Amino acid sequence: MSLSLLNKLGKYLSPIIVEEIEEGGEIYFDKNEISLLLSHLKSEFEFLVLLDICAEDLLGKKNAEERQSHRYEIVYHLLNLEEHTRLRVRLPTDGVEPILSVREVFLNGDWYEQEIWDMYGIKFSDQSDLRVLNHQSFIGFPLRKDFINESNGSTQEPYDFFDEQESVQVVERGLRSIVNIGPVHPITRGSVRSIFELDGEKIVRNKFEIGYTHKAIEKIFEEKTWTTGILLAEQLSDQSPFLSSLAYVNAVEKLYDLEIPDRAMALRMVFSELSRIVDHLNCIGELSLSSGNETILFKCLDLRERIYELFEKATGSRTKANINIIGGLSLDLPIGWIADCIIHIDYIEDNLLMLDKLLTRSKVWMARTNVCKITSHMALEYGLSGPSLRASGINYDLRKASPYYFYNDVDFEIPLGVNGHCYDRYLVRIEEIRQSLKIIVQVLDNLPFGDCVATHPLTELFHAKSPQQFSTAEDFVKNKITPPSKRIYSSIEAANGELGFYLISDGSSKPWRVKVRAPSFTHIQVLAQVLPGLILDDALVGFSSLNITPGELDR
Amino acid sequence: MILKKYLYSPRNMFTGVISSSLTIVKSLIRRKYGFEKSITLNYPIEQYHYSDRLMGMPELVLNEKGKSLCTSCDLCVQICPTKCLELKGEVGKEPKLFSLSLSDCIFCGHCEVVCPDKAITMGNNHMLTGHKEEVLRLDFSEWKKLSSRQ
Amino acid sequence: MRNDFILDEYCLTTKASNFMEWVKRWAQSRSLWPILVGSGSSANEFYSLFGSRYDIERLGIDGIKYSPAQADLLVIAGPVTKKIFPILKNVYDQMTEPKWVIALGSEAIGGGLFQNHTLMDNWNEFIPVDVNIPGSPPSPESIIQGILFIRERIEKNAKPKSDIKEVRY
Repeated sequence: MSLSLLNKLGKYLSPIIVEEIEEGGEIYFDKNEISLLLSHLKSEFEFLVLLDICAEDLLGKKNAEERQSHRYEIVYHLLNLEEHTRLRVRLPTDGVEPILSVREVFLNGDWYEQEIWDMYGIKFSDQSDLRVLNHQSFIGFPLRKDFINESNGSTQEPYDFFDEQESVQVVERGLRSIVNIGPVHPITRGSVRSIFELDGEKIVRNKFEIGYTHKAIEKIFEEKTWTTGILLAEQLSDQSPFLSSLAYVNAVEKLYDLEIPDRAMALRMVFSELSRIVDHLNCIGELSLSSGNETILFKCLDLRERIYELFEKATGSRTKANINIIGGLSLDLPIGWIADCIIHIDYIEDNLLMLDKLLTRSKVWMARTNVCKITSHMALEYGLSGPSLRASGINYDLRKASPYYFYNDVDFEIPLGVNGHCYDRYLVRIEEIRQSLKIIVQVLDNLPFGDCVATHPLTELFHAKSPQQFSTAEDFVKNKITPPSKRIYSSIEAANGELGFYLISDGSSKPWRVKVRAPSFTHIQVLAQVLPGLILDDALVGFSSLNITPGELDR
Repeated sequence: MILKKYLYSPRNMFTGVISSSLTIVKSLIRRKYGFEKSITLNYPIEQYHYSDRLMGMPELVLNEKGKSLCTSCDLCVQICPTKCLELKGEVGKEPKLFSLSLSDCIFCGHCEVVCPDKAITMGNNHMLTGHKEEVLRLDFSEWKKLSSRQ
Repeated sequence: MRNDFILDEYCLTTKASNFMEWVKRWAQSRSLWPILVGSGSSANEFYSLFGSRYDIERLGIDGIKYSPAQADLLVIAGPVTKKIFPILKNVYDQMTEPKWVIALGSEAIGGGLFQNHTLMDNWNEFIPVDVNIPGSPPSPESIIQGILFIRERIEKNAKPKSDIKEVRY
């Protein structure tokens, strides 16, 4: 954090101290006026974006600090776009009295608070009793440390949302009907149930129900060791699992304070750009499928197959990336991979030109996708990130703002849209594929030599030279080398936005709490304000342009 | 970089029709008179050869006499995330009972990394489909039979 | 998987009695229409079968239909949670006879890594499965092999024998 901002905050908040940490600052606040504090931080110190709200249960934690005499703690993560710093506000609570809600200050705080009620049982002011991720007749709060699994029934009817609302002005003429577009549908990809209230063909109100593929990944993280967590982090995305596991491994390496060699950083950049291309191609294919154009989908599937071939030769699996370990990469490139890579990159670039000629500037495609306008003010209020934010005109990309690995030394540009329609999101994604190809070629030209794995007690099994002994293998299984007791938040630029992990460790071999900051969970809240007023077909086009992934949404 | 202004103005119908049809005709001519073969893999007749690093079914490594190199140290059972391996035996000798459950295995490869005797590897067999009457838990003798065949 | 598995020993199979019966079974097995429930990396591999590389249209499958009354093959991909099970049962009840079921991926067969309070582990008692395809995700060649196994079951009209118990793991 810059010195002037730190001094200003310290003067405003005295006698509360602002601690300086690696990503910015941290405040420990134990009074009851949290929404007043956050609205002052937003208006005078320009912390405009609320990234996440997370909760933690402190029952039975070792190495606890002395000033904790309560059971729960709630953490608010804020972001300042101009100075690229983050701020954490920690609020202790007992869980008995309801906490003042922040949903009037930051519009996207509603769903985060509802999820904390679902998982922990902590009430906020003026909150309904609906469950977000578990089913509606569930008994118990899963993420508490003393949760016992009773038999919760499974045959219950899907809940009907519009019955309990107060009567909104019923339309005088025309037909009012309720349409349910369920989880088994090609556009919602198997996880979202959307309920529309229509007046003829126009949408009056809409609601979403999620949680159909909820597997409680955050609870399983606490039962397995730090190294097995990489397998769980891959499940967060079905198109680009390399980027999701890279976000987790990056966070754990910061916790252990480990430095990886140069060759591992360069190879990780190459694989993550290839993964990003797969995700963008899939999104363009689905966008054209939802507007009735199937030719483009088949072309995108063909281009995706080429990248799967490259992944299979290097890592052994077509889609899952089991090459990331704590400390680098477990396998080096095989002989002949770079030549294959350049042949496939040429093929992709030729066919991308063909896609461009068929779709861009054509009258039918523009008329179909000039819907669902998201202004830049709305984008900042709801906390968007990634290509959806850049299509509304705001220039923020984590690879340029706080660069990691070698993104400082590579020459690439960030495309910005003008209007915020679906057409802009399509243009931004096609241009990002071209910039990713440019990055890959530059890195492969100057690949550094050396080892792929760092020399550290954690990675002794992966060096080819050390003899295999029973004691090193046993240390790996039981994870005897434990990290220090710390809290850390780290994020990377995934294909859809900012994917972050908030890790809390208490010095043992298993994590105490892992929270995933998923971009899809934030993006779906914008649709409550954008969709009313459109016709039903345009709403489906707008939904599929935001790239809502079921793995991140439901975790 | 802000996207250029000409990308937002629609082209008129005549230019659009000619440009799109030229693109499609060009790719058709390239396919018929060029040197590109068809990219379809006719599956039951042709096969695709995966590389050596493919994560297939875990297999036991056998020596010349047909015995496995396992010494019952129990490390692969402890690290398996889904608990699909089961082992019973004395440390230092060949196990009496060692079975693998194919319905639980997620093909992650941790058992190969951890084994100190290099007795288990991820093989190349990825064709694992079965009817519902086929049993998906392999005991020791069946597993040894499937490991030797490639 | 095992070359010595003969279907006739494990279930009741009948040969076609006349020519029209043979034509009916031949036509049913060469034109299946699937419907897909669930999401995950296994469902992603099922979508990539429709590209130009593993062209599944030459086996007779035109495209995924999303209406249960027009489909006759149910493909379950991803773990079956307690929240989606009523919808899955609804879809299975609305399909018309005859119908067949494939369980795709290790997560659908046994739950995979996610053995906790959200998983429904006895869904197999309500919906009978015909072909299991393990793998995480399974390779596209093994999914095509699974469809060829369903063809074999339709041509021989395989029905379960009453005295053999189903062994699941």
